[in-house]
Amino acid sequence: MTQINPLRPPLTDPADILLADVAIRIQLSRTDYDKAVQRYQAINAWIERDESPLKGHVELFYPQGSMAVGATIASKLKTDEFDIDVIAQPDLPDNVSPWEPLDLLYEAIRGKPGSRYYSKTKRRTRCITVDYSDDMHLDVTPSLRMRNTPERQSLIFHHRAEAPKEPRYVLIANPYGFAEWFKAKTPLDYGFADIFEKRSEEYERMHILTEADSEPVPQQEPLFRKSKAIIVLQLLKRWRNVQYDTRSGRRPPSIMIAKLVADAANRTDRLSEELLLQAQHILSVFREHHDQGRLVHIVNPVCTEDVLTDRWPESRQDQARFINDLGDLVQKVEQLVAGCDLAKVQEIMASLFGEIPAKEAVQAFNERTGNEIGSGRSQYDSQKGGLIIPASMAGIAVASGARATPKHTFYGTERRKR
Amino acid sequence: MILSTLKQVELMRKNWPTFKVLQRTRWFVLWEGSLRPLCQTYMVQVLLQRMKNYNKSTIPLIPRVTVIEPLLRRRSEDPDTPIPHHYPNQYNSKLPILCLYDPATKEWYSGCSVARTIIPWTIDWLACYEGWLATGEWTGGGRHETAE
Repeated sequence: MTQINPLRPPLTDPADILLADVAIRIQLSRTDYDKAVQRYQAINAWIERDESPLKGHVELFYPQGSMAVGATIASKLKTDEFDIDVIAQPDLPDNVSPWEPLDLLYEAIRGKPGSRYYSKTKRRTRCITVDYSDDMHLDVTPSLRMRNTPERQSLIFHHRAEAPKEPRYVLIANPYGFAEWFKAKTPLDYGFADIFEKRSEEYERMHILTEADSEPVPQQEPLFRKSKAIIVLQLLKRWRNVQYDTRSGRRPPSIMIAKLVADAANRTDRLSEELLLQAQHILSVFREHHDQGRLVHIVNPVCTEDVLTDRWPESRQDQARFINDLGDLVQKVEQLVAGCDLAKVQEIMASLFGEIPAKEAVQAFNERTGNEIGSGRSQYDSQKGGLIIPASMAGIAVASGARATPKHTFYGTERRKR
Repeated sequence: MILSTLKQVELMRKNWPTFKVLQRTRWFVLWEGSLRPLCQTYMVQVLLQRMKNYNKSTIPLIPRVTVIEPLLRRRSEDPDTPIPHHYPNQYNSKLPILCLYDPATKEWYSGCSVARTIIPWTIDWLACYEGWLATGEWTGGGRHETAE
């Protein structure tokens, strides 16, 4: 576990606070998380209904991907990525044809005409998707457990129903194993996690929208307690979504980004430094492959047959474009780390993560800071010559050297506009 | 009680050791140093000067702060609106003088330590300036006297 540097308490640097505030604005809210859990449970129950072809045949039903590691984001971009990814493990024979588990699961979820999911269900190449009216999607992937292999190593199936002449095949995967590996590589750094959680809860209290038809679901673990690595993963996914929002074709897969982030996780004290290190690390991996004339090839560390980049990049062009994007990301995060004024910080964050969360974060920061100053509560660090920014309304102990600024009133002669 | 320039220099050296005295006479002290209120570092100059009034008697020391680098600027989205809370600098229009306190409330007087008031007030001012530059809103309060 990363040791907290007592000389650099977490989330005191304005750039880090602003990045954290952007992350808070893009992460799944508690309300949406509860809704996602309810929907996940509802689908599970639906598949087990009496008329379902899979009744009594689903051995396991478990989340995978972002939901499994706590890195789901709720994007409001065109290419919305508010996905709940689930594995359904039916007890089918190992030699089943690739389309059979997909067809069976499709029938089980879709049901009869007029039933609750009938018009919302789509059969995709590797999963069944349920589209909800509020832009949430639930992807259920059928997978068959491979006996006598590491836990939950499974077969998943590739078959495009609308293109019967395309190859259909079976792949080996272990998303459960990946999620467990990822969580082990990105443990909580408790000081940081505490502050981020407090900050998230403050934001939720100010912005909560209650839904009349949803009941609270007990949390199995605190929703907002996250490591820097997971927050950086969320920011990188958001950044990726922003870059690819108006582009056609596939985009770099989230699981690939997660794997690379976990490889280099939690080696820094600050959130901005973690973001920079991760961006530089991903760029170096891509550049190394590209310079050798190869497409990047990233595998699941607990199941090397599970190729995380099997569908992207499809060409050197795809790869080169991403390398270009990463270079731009690195250059901008370097500016954040080196220091620039708030207007520049806002401009950089808007280009990386979208205008709305960036502007909201800066506006909220400006209001809080100004409020402290205007009400005579500001403090300064006499060693650094900087303002001390409270990381949480709840108040977090600040580093030594903090001094109260005597109350004062800005003045000046008003000049008319030119 | 008036703090002498010697005492002011001593207190500044103790509290802000990175600030250098550029010039010092019986009538004024000029310091220069860097501050980093948020993420941007600014080079500022602080002039503490005895002002002469019209009958040639002196009045107590008045501090003036200017930002040398980077130069303060108006918002690109609204170039007609001046920077809030400053006095024009008759000697150099590119270096406006920051309005850190309200003269009507006697927040500053010659018994105040520059190190414990003017410098932290400058930090506050620069933080509010950055917020205004980014959002168009000066959120740190204050008042303007409308020019006639």
